[in-house]
Amino acid sequence: MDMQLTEEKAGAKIKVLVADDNESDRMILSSIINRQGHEVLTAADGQEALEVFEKERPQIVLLDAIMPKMDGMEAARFIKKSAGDEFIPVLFLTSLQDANSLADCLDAGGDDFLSKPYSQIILQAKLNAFLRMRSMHATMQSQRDEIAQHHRHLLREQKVAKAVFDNVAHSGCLNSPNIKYMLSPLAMFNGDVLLAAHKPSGGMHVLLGDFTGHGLPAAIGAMPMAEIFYFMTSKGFSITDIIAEINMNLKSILPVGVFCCACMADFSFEKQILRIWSGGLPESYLYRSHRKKIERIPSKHLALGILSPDDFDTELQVIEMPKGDRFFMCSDGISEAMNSSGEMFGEERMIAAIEDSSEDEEIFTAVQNAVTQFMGEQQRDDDITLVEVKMIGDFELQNPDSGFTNATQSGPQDWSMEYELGPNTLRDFNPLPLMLQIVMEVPGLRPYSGQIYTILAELFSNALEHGVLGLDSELKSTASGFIQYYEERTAQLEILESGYVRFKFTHIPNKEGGVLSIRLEDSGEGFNIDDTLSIEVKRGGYSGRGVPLVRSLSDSVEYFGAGNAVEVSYVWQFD
Amino acid sequence: MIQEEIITELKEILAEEFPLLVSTYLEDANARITRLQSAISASDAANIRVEAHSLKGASSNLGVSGLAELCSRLEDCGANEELDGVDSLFSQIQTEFTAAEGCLKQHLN
Repeated sequence: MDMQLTEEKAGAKIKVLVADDNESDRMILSSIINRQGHEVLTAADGQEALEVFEKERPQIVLLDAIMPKMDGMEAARFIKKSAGDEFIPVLFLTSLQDANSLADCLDAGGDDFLSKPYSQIILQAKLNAFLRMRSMHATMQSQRDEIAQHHRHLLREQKVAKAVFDNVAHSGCLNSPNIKYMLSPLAMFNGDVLLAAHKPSGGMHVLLGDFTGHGLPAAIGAMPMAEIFYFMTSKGFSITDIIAEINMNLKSILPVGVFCCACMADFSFEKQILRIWSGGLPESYLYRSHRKKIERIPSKHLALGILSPDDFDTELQVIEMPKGDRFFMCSDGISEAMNSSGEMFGEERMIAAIEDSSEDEEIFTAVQNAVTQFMGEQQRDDDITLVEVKMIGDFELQNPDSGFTNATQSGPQDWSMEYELGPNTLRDFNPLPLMLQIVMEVPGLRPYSGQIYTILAELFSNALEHGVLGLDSELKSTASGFIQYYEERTAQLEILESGYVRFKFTHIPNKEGGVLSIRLEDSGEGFNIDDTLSIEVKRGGYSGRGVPLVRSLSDSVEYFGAGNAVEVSYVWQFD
Repeated sequence: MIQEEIITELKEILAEEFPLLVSTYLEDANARITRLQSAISASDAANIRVEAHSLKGASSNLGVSGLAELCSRLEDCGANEELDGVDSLFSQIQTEFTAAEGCLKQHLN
C-alpha cells in the first residue's frame, strides 16, 4: 500500500479539483470541501481543468457538464486517460435532466453526479465514499501487480527448471535414425516423458511415461526418472532392474494419487528381440512389416509409483521382432483426442491409420495427420505423445553416444581382481553392470565399453546358462524354443542350490593403451570344445552368435580344462 | 421566490464570505442576462442554451428557484431551437431577477 493511500485513510488532506464556469458555484463547492479539511483547486472551463489536473494531480475531480472552451465530457475523457491505472473519481456537476445527457456523462468516464442545488451532506458523503473506493482500488491494483510479479517470477523459474530438465531428458538418442516421435506440450512442462538411450551392448532402451497432472508437479517426477533411466542404461543394467528402480524411486517421492503410466521397451538389435514392460498406458502396437499387420500389445501392470518394491511385478513380454518391424507407443492423449462432436479418436482409427499406409516410412506421418485432421480446430485437452521405433540390424548405428562421458583422466591401470558368485547371488543378481563399472575405471577405456560389455555378457551367459544350469543351446535354434529356453532358465535359477561363476580380470597398461584379460570359470561340466565351436559357426541361428561374436571382438579366445574355463584377451588403444 | 432554507445553509457554510457570494452571483447573473439578450436578438439558439443553463445552475444554488425555473424553460427553447416566445420568457426573467436581487440584498444586512 503506498504512502498516499495511508494518508487518505487517516483522513488527511487530499486535493479536489472543481471546474465550473459559475464563480458563485465554485465558491459554494470550495467552502463545503474546505470545511471537510481538503484542499480545493478551481478551474473556470474544461481546458483550464486539464491544465490544473496535469500540474497538481488532484485525487478527485468535480466537473460541470457544460462549460466554455471545452465541455465537461471531453475533459473527463482526457483526465481518465491521463490517470492511467490510478482511480481518479470524476463527478459531474449538473442540473441536466434528460437521460441521454446523463448517459453521455457516464460514457465519458464519469463515476457519479452531483445535482444543483448542492447539498453539503450529500457532497461530503460522496467524497468519503469515493475515497474508500480509491483505497480499495489501490489495494486491488497493488495485489494485481504483486500477482503479476509472482507470475513473472514463476515463469522465470519454470524456464530455468525446463532448461535443466531438457538437459537431462534430451541427453539420450531420440534423434537416432530409427526413432520418430512427437511431443505436444500442454503447459511449459509436458506431463509426458520420452526417453531413449543406447545400451552398452548395442541395443536401445526407450521409455514413454505419462505422469498424472501437468506442469511442475509432473516434471518433478520426470527428473529422477530420466536420471535413473540414463544412468542405469549406460551402466549396462537390464530393463527389469531399471523399471524396478524407477518404480521404487517414484513410490518414495510422489504423493499418493500421483503416479506415472509408462511403457519401457528394450530392443536387442543383435538378437532381434523386443522386451516390454507396460503399466497403465494404452496398448502399444507392433507393426509387422512383411504382413503389413498390427499386433496389439496390452498393458499388463499397474502404473509406476503405486506398488511397493515387494509387490511390484517386473514380468516382461518377450517378442521376436525382425529387422524392419516397427513398434508404436502412445500416451492416452491420442486415443482420447476429441473432435468437435465430442467423439474420441480411439484405437481403431489409430490401427487403421497404421495399416492403411502404403509405405512403411510414411506410417508415422499418416498417424500424425489422421489425429490432426480428426481433431480439427478442437483444443487438445491432454498431452499427445507418439513414438515409433524401428528394429534395425546389429551395428547399424554409427558411434552411439550415451551422453555420459567419463571425465576422469587418472585411475587404475595395472590391476587384477577375482570375483566369485555363489548360487544365492546367481539366482537374482546381474553382475554385469558392476563388472563393467570396475573395468571402465581404466582411463581411456570408456569408448570400448560397448564391445567389452558384449564380451562380458556372452561369456557370463554361457557360463551361467550352459555351465552352471546346463541348458542346451540347441533349444535356441527356433523362435518358440527361444522363449521356452528363457522360461527354463528362470525356473532353474529359482531352485539353484549349488554352483559358481568366477570372474578374473587382469589389466596391463602399455604405451598405446593396454591389454585386458577376462577369464570366466564355472562349476559346470564343460563341453566338447571342438564340436561345439564348429557347429556354432555353421548354424548361424539364434545361438550361433555367441562365441564367434566374442572372437570377432577380441584378440584371442582360449578354452581350458573341460571347457568350463575361458580366457579372452582384449587389446585396446587410446582414441 | 427564494428558498430560505438554502440561504440559511449557505450562510452557515460560507460564514463571513456569504456577502461576497451574493455579490459575485448578482454580478455574474447581470452579465449573463446581458449576454442572453444579445443571443436572443441574434436568434443564436446555441448561446441561448448555454447562458440559460449556467444562469439556471447558479440561481438554483442560491435558492432563487423561480428564476431557475424560467431559465430552464429558456434553455429548452435553445436546445430545441424553438425561439417563438423567448422574448416573453426573457422579460419574465428580467422581472424575476430584479425581485430576487432585492430579496438577496436584504439578507446582506
